[in-house]
Parts: sequence; structure tokens; C-alpha cells
Amino acid sequence: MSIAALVLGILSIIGSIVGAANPLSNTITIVALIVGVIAIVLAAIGMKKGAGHGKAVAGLVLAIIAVVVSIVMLIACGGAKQNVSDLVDGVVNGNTEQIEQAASNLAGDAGEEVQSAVDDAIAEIESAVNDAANAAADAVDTAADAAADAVDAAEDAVDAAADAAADAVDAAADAAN
Amino acid sequence: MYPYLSVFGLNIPMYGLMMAVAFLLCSVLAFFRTRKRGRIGENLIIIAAMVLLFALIGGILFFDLVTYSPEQIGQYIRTGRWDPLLRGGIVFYGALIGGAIGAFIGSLIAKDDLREYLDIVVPVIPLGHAIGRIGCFCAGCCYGHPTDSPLGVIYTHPAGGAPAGISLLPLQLIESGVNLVIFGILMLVSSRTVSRYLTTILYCILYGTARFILEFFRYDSIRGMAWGLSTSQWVSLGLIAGALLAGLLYHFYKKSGRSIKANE
Repeated sequence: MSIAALVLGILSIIGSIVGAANPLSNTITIVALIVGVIAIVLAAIGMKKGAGHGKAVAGLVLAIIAVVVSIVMLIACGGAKQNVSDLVDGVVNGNTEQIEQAASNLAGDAGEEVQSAVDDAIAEIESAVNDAANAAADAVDTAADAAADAVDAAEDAVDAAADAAADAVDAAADAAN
Repeated sequence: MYPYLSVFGLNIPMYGLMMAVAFLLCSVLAFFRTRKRGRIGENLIIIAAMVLLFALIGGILFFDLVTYSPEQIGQYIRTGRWDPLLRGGIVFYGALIGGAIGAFIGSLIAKDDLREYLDIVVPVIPLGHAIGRIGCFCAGCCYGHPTDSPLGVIYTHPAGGAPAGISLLPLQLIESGVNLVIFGILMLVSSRTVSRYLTTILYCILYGTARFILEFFRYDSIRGMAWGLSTSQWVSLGLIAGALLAGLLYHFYKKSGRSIKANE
């Protein structure tokens, strides 16, 4: 039991230092924390039984250091920062649901005024998108109308040219007669 | 306010540092109280280790459940974004419930009666909580309403959790002070009574009442609300009711025990 505590204590402190050196690695820190807790329990049991007292104490000390380092690096209180990150992601990806959720979370921190401002901003964005879509549709309709008008005018011109040609032919025939 | 402590170029999060200091200090104090009361110190170490593990699990789980919707939690898990789930924060009541479960499991491992450690361990909980709230103050979470009073604190650090530039009531420090008072009361009662459960019942009533009142001054409402009260307020009411009921039951149990002995 004491030897196991020592071994796990060494492993946990290595894991906690590696996890601390790489703050993005939550997995290593969590594993170090759990292994450290197990080492503490085994060390205490070993100390109770009286065998390998020195090893048990060494394992206990290492495990306590590992657990402390893991707690310091793992535990945070940054809900607001995460919501800002989600808000930015939502805007970049055009995910209105994510925007609304993150804005709602942030509004919980800052009160109804921010919620109202964010709602207004989202409404304006949606309105602007709708306006742009409508303008594009109108432009397409206008272009279609203009094209149709152009086609009609061309047909009229062709008809007029044909009539003029026919008149010219008749006139020439009359002149010949 | 001061979310990181810079030591030799390394940024140490104050929130986690205060949590660690709180747990270490309370464990050492509880260990010496255990020895003084003639109990086995190693058993307390086992119980304390399990309390730590399950308190962290409970506190983080409670925070996630009251902060995020089930869909959001599912999305975070599916996309592998564990940071907001693990590092969003801790709710004290979740840690308290988790810690109670951990204490029970620890007592099973140590093969000892948990009831013998209640009067030893419970009085040091508010001390740890008081230290932890200092961590909250440094990190900029669990803050109070905006205020124009001289007590107001303006957070300016860009990495802090509180909205910057607004004068906020330092509710974290107020709650820390309240917890220190509760710690003093419990240590006094613990030194003058032989009742196993009195300090536990007293702590539940005192802290439940204090937390219920202080919650009205909290400004970070991401904790979850139901029927006009926050989640922690509902838990506080349950804690107070449970403690009063337990106290009454224990009182009548002891009274009936004395009556039986008198009749014999």
C-alpha cells in the first residue's frame, strides 16, 4: 500500500506539472488530480497499518503537492469570458442561435439594458439582411423587366424594318410599272 | 480585479490558488482537531481526500446544470469543448452536496463512523468558504449589484469575469466576512458542547439564512432562477428546513431516550 502510494504520488506530480505547463490540456490535469487523490487515500491506509511509513509519507506529500497544483490550474471562474468567445464564434459563423444564447448569458451578467441592446442589434441585423434580400429581388425584377422591354423594342424594330422593306419593295414595283 | 498572480513569469489563477489554500488550511486544522478529540488522523485524511474529489465534481456539475441548457452541454461535449464545462465555475452548494457524498464514501473506505467527525469537520467549512470567496473577488465572479456607495469596487482587468468600469458591491468580501463570523460561532459552540450534531445543524441554519439573504444582492444571474428565487435560494430554504427538522427529530429522540432510562 505504501509503495503504491509513493508510485502514484510520483505519477500524479509529474502529471500535474505537465498539465500546468500546458494549460490547454485539461485531461492530463484531471487525471493527475484523480491519481493524486487515490495516492493520498492509499498513503493514509499505509500509515494506519504502520508498514512502510516513510514511503507512505513521501507518497502523501507528493500527492498533496500534485493535487494542489492541479486544483490551481484546473479550477477557474470564467463564465463571462466563455460567453464572449461564444458570441464571437456565433457572429463569425452566422449562427444566430449561438449569438442569442451567448448574449442571453452575458445579459444575465450585465442586466436587462445589455439584453435589450443586443436584442435591438440582432433585430437590426435581421432587418438589414431582409432589406438586402428584398433589394436584390427588386433588382432582379427590374433587370427582368428591362430585358423584356428590350426584347419588345427589338421585336418592334424588326417589325418596323420589315414593314419599311415591304413598302420599299412595293414602291419599287410601282415605279417599275 | 486581480485574476492572476504573476510569479517568475507564470500566471497563477487566483481563484484556484485560493481554493487550494482554503482546502489545505481546513484540512490541517481539522487534522489537529481530530487528534485532539482522540480520533484517528489518518481516517480524516482519507475522508478529506474523498471530500475534495467529490466536492469538485459536485460544484462543477451544479454550475454546468444551472448555467447551460442541456442542448448547450450536449454541443460542448460533441465538439470536445470541455473548457466552458470544466472551467466555467463552481457553485458552493453543489460542492457541499458532493463533499457530503465524498465524506460518506471516505468513511466507508476508512471503516470509521462519519458521525464522530461531524463536530470536528463542519466548523472549519465556513473558514474554507471565506478564503474561497476571496478567490471569487480576485477573479471577478459572484459580484453584487451596481452601487454608488464608497464600498463599490470597479473591475478593470480585461480577463476578469465582472463587467468592467461599473462600481459593484463586493458581495464576495461581505460573504467572506459572514462566513468568518459563522466559523467563530461554530468553533465556540463546538468547544462547549458534547452534542454530535449541534454544530452541523447550526451551520446549516446560519449559512442557509445568510446565503438566502445575500442572494438578493447578487448581480450575476447566470446561476439559474425559478419562481422568483435563485437556485441557491431554493437550496438554502431546503437546507434550513432540513436542519430544523433534523434538530427537532434529534431532540425528541434524545428526550425519549432519557424518559426510557428514567423509567428503568
